[in-house]
Amino acid sequence: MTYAIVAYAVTAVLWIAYLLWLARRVARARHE
Amino acid sequence: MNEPSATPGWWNAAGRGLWILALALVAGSWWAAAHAPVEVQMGPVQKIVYVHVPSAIVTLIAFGLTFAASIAYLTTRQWRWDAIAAASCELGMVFATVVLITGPLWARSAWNTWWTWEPRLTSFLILWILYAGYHVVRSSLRSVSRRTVSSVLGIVLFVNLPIVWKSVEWWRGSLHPRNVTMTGEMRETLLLSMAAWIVFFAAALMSRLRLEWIREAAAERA
Repeated sequence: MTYAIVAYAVTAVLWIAYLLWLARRVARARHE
Repeated sequence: MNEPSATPGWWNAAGRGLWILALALVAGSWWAAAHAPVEVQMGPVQKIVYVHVPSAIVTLIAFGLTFAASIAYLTTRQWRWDAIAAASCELGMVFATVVLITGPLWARSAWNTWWTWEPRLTSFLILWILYAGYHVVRSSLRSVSRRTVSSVLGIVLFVNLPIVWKSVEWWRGSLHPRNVTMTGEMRETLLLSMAAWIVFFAAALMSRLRLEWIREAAAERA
């Protein structure tokens, strides 16, 4: 069970981190 | 605010709609995974399949789209195709990373090891490394050749996809399951998860393309 929870948690964290990085790049590009 | 650099209103509206649908589907698929029957042999750890398999399928879709868009760019020389190729490849990398993290978590229970150099795992790791190389090469180039070189890479690297796909058949001694055969509620959960991550990919692709769109508009103004 622990491995399954870790797998789902890591997936969520990875995607949230990527989308935040993407939002930051969009914001930076809009101000350039 | 530099509005000329913004994407069209219809694009933003479609993107928002797609994001709402994608997040609802992913949330629904995770809820379904939590409530799906527990597999008898493996127990709850089998539920990793509901995120691992769709992520692997979307990885292949994303790199396949990079291949198609790269051909389209070399044929038409329109920047939009190069933008689609690069955006799709970047998202494919994130999906591939999810596959490479969730796979060993499943393997630890199924095979009693985090990693083994069997054909599917090895070919997928090579795929990840090669597509990471695509981004390294692309980010190191600044001239007009950037798009051409990226497109050639996007086409050449596609050779790896059939190898990954067929690796479980072409090499003997493959531990990785050939097919995921499920029935009933488990199958429905897997299908829902597939649909959820495909829509998620589409929504993320629209957002990522927005970045390319803004950059292109800025380059045109400069």
